[in-house]
Amino acid sequence: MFLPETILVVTALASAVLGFAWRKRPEALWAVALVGTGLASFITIDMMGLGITNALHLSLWPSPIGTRGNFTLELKMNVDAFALFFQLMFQLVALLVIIASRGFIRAEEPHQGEYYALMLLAVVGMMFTAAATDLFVLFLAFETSSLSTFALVAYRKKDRQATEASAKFFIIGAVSSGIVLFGISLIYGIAGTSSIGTTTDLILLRGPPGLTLAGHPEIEPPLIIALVFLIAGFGFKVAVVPFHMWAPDVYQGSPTTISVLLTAASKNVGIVALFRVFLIGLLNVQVDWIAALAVLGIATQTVGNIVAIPQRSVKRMLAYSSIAQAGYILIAIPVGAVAVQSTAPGDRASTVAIYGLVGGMLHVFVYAAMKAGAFLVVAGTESRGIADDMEAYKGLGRRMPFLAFSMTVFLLSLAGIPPLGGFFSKFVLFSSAVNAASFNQWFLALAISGVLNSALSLYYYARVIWYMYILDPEEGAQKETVPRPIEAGVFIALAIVMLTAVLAAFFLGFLTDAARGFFGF
Amino acid sequence: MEYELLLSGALLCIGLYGVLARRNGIIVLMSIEIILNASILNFVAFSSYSGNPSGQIFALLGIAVAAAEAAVGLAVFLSIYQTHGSIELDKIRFLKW
Repeated sequence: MFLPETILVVTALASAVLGFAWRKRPEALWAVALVGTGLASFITIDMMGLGITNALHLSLWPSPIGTRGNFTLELKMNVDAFALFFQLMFQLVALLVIIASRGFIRAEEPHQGEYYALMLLAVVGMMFTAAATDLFVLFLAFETSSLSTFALVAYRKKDRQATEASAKFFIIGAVSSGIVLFGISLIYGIAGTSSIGTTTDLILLRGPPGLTLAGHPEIEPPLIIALVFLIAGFGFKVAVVPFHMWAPDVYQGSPTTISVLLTAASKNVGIVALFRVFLIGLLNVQVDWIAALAVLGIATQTVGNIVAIPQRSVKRMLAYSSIAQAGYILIAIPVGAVAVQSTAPGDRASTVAIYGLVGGMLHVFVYAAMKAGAFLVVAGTESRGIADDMEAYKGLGRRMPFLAFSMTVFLLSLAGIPPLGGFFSKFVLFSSAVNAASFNQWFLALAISGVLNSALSLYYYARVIWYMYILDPEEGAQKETVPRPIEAGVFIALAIVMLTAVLAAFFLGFLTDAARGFFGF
Repeated sequence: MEYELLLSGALLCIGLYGVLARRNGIIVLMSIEIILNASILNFVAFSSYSGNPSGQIFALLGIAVAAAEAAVGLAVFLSIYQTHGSIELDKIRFLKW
């Protein structure tokens, strides 16, 4: 059941070792990484029951969904549909990054074997995070992915900006994981006072009987501290607003392909951890973390969008917009929690909770494609020596027509313009918040804030489009060719964003089952 | 039990203070290790108090994570030293914080 992970680990180790032998042949290393990731994601799609072999009734890889992938007792992991969906998303992002790296990392740059090895190991850590059902296992997987990304940011170790970004990322990331571990240790002890005994198992914490305040009012203060630490620690990873200051610096300073990995995959690790921890483990804790997460979500959207407006660097602008997008995804957590908590799990409550989680998952997927695509466009322009400054994008529509067109599509989709992917996922997400308002009317505020913020964000997205198409290029600037691999990566992301409506029709049943299995209805 | 928790709380505060207030990269790294050790102490204390050995396994794994983090951190600060000639973090201000 861990075949894709095994393949990725083997590929990573092979790439690290072959890096020494093939120092002069980076294209061979690239091919190894590409084949490994492609094979792993193909098998993952197959395990989800959506692949070609399933359509032909070959079923080479039996689906782990249900009992076969349930290693809750031995390994504290459960490869359910929810986990498989996120694993596929992480692998697709890695695939895009690897494809584009061929055009972005120059052939003479050293240490390319380690570059691919660290990237694949980071992806393996992310995939295990999605499957973990125990707080401590989740922490270990989370750390695996973090440690690899710290090193990846400093891949160009002679570059002053990259090493500085790496130092900031390391300090923030290490402190946040320390805080998460402290929160987990408190939960471990607090669980000991209740009937379930000292444990960090999310399913035992959820109960019944589970970890509740009923009969133990004295555990409330440490529980609040533990929840604050968990929200803060994972919030750093997701760049939720009071903890977001590192994100623009790191995205701007790191090599752009690594920015893609950070914004599209690493941020979603934090989100999947929040889903697992709060919607399974701490669901029945009677401490009001739902309001806290809802307020954080609204603050994240608003601050991200407002601070994005004056930015001159395109990468920083995209970084702030990805902070805002994380705010939209956070809507799914309070919505799911309030629906499941407020009433006995009847039909309506479960429908709303499922709807909210489906919206969150769909937006995570579309967000990863949009953001990866937009950063890959920046990588494409950078590889031709165009600075990531708004001024340098003048007349890009004539200099690099395909990249400018793709950038336009990604930005419009990020703002949520109808035929594109961002519209559908935002629609599901916001309407789930409207539905949740029947349990608690304050949830209408989540939907309203989301819609207003989407409108606000159109302002700075449209400015980039204005620079690219309306303004004339500088004197002497000519048409440039873009490296083929980067164009291929952008093209795949573009296809996902434009065809979301079709893909969603294909995926929606799977997503609903995944959400149902996740909540255990 | 209370004494262990007080000690681990104190360690956490010392670590957070060190990360926020000190500017030398190595001292920041040491402070991060102190934060991790605070939670490791918590795990051992809770585990011995409740008689459930899993916390001690968590503590061992936590020490491994702390060691890996120290290795990556030292490598990062080494490359900072090579490019900037210093690991005083307030002198490194190329990107806007």
